[in-house]
Formats: sequence, C-alpha cells, structure tokens
Amino acid sequence: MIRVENLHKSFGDLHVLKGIDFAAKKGEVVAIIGPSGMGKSTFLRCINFIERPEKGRLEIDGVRVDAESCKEKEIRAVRMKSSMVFQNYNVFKNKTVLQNVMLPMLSVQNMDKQAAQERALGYLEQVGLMDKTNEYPSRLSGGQQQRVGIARAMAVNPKVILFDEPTSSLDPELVAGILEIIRRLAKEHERTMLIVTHEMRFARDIADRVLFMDGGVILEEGTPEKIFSGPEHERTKRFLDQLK
Amino acid sequence: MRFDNEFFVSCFPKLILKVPYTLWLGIIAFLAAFILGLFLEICYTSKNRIVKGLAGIYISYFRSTPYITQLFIFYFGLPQVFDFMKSVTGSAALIITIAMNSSAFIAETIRGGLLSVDRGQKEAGLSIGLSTFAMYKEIILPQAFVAAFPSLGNAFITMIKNTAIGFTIGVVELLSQAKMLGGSSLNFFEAYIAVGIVYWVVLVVIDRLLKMMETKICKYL
Repeated sequence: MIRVENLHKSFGDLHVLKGIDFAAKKGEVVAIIGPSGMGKSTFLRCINFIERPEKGRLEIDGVRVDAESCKEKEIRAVRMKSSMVFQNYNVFKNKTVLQNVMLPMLSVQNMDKQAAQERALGYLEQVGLMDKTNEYPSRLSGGQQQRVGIARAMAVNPKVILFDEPTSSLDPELVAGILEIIRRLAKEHERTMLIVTHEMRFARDIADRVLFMDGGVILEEGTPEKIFSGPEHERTKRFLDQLK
Repeated sequence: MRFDNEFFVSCFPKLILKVPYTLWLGIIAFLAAFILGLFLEICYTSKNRIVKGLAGIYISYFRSTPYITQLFIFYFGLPQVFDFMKSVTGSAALIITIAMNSSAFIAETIRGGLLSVDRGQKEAGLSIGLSTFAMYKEIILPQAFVAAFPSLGNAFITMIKNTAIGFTIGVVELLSQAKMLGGSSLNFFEAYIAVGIVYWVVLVVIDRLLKMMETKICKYL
C-alpha cells in the first residue's frame, strides 16, 4: 500500500532524515516513537509532501513519485492518497465544522454539495460532533477542534492517515476521548495509519507494528510486544526506561 | 464679533449638496488605491529584483512625503515638463494622487492580512490536496480580508478627509464650498464651523457603517 525508499531531508545543514526505508500494508496501524527532534514528524510531513524531501521515492496505492524529479501535478496526486491530523489541529478558522469537513470533497474531489454534506455528517457522527456542525472553530475546545481535524482527514478518503502527535497539545482530560476515536478507526483496519505519539500505552495497545526512530533513521522496528518488552538496541531501551 | 445664526444655518443645505461629490471622490480614489495597492504588493513580493526595488521606492516615497507635496508636484510641477499633463483636470489629479498616496499604505495592509493566515492552516490546505487557487479562494483571501478590513476602513476615512486638500488646486468640494460661502459674506467663522460639523457627521456615519460591517464579516473570530 505504502512504500518509502531511501528518504532524505535536510533543513540547511541539519540532516534530519538520513535514508528512511519503510513499507506498510493496507489497514496496518504503525506507531512511531522516539526522542523529540529526531525526525518523526518530518517523516510524516515528507510523506504528505508538506515538506519536500531532497531524495527518495514514495509510492502510495500505485502512485509513485521520485523526490528528485517530480512535478507539481505528481505531488498533488500522491498527496490525495494521504491526509494528516496535526498536533495543533490546524482547522480552517473561517469555516464552520461542517464546512471544514466538506472542503476536501467539494474543492478537491468535486463532489456535489448534497453528497458531500451527507458524507461529512457521517464522519462527524463518528467523531461525536453532531451537536457542533454549524459552530466556528473559535467556539470549540482543543479536543473538539482535533475531532474536526480527524473528520476532515477522513473526508479526503485517503489510503493512509498520518497522525502527527494528535494529543500533544490537548489538556490531559481531553486526551482519552481523542485516543478512543483513533482506536476505533484503527480497529476498522480500513486505512493504513501512521501515528507519531508519546502515549506509549496507547501505541502498545493499538499498533500492529512499532517503529523506533532516532538520529534520522529507523533504528528498530517490530511488534509492540517485542519493542516494549525486549528491545534490541541500547538506545531504544534507554528511551523506554526514561519514560517509566 | 457676532455669531450670525441665520447665515450659519443657511450654510448647511449648500454644503450638504456637496457631500455626494466628496464621497464620490473618496470612493473612486479608494477603489483605485485598492487595485493599485494589490498590484504594488504583488510587485513588492516579486522575485525580480528590479520590480521589487521600484515598488519599494514607490512605497517609500508616498509614505515619507506630505500628501500636499505629492499633489503639487503632480498638478503644478509635472505639466511644466510633460505637455500632455496640462489637460489633467483638478478633480482627476486629486483622485489620482489620493489613490497613489493611499495605495502605498494599502499595500502594506494587504501584506499584513495575508501574513495573518498562519502556516498551520496552509499546511492543512496542502494536506487535503487543495490547489494553490483553491487555497487562496477558500482559506487565505477570506481570512486576509477580515484581518485587513479595519485598516482598509481607516484608509478610506483618511482618503475622504484628504479630498479637502482639493481646494488648494481649485476642486470645488466641501471645503472649497465653505471657503466660497465664507468669502462672499465675510462670515468665515460660521462657514468653517458648519463645514467642520458636516465632515464630522459624515465620517461618524461612515465609521458606524464600517463597524457594523466589521461585526458581520468577523463572525467567526
């Protein structure tokens, strides 16, 4: 479903991703853990082409791009195969909850308004926001904004959903609700999900596979059982110990 | 001196007749300034260094010289050098110079509005697959307009007030009308007080209208 080969990304002199190779099957749920500033978010952002990698190949659902020689059109084609849930929600402030979720269907998929609205309401029901459909984001709590973010990401009808620390900006009492929604989505195994998270118990619970990223590479990967109970690498061990 | 009440009251109908003309000058100048300001902003953010440099000089000149100087250069100065400019009427010169003067401010207001849209929302737009055009139409321009609206309103009010300087080049707008009323009766005090009140009322009404529009378009904030 998704395959990444030899992905490189630098910011100036800072070489953040040093050759990432990665693949995941349809419906697979992959948690990405590791110390801050070691490229986890950048990796997700490169898959979505919000950051443009310098080198590497990406393939999602049969659409291939080569970072060194890709045109704007190809980037948009591969972008439409994935969508992103952001740490800071990034909902559109000038649109209501319903309009936020309808936008990808109206402006990108050219769906007619009636059908888009029906589907948007379906997604909003899944995230539990039916009572807020006509509110503007400024009237919502962080947790509610993130629900909009998740519904909007589903509305793209993506093959892969990328979650970039979806609960890191939330007040502690709101975290559980969002994790529950993601957990339900994961159980459907409809879409491939890549989740960067610091919630280790959550990662262990829902992931089919866990990646440990450090120093711009995937240092270790395996089942949650293996990573959390018997990590091979010294650095993985140290990272997990620090969290205890 | 004795305050001539009867004359004072009689000024108002004659002055109010000139209000539409003053508003017309202001509105035409504002529309021209907005388009010019948008164009300037595009030039100023251009990658071409010459285009960017020229826009920078333009903005700097119009922001850092008095408006009346700009008007005199345009209306009295340039026609001595360029023959074709002798045919430019006073009201045209007034509108053009007010528009050019304000466009420099409006360009900066537009830039501020565009910058007010945070990067996160643009990234979200990219992530759902919006084209650049759709991104501007749906997200950036609507929010930039709301952010810029109060400053644009202030620019409009300044422009209405600047039309008064038209009297120095013989454009018969509100202030010139008052000057003539005062001159013909030698009741300058009454005439100027009357015109002051007319300007005040007109601008307070405009200000109210702008505030009402602002609450309407800012409903999502």
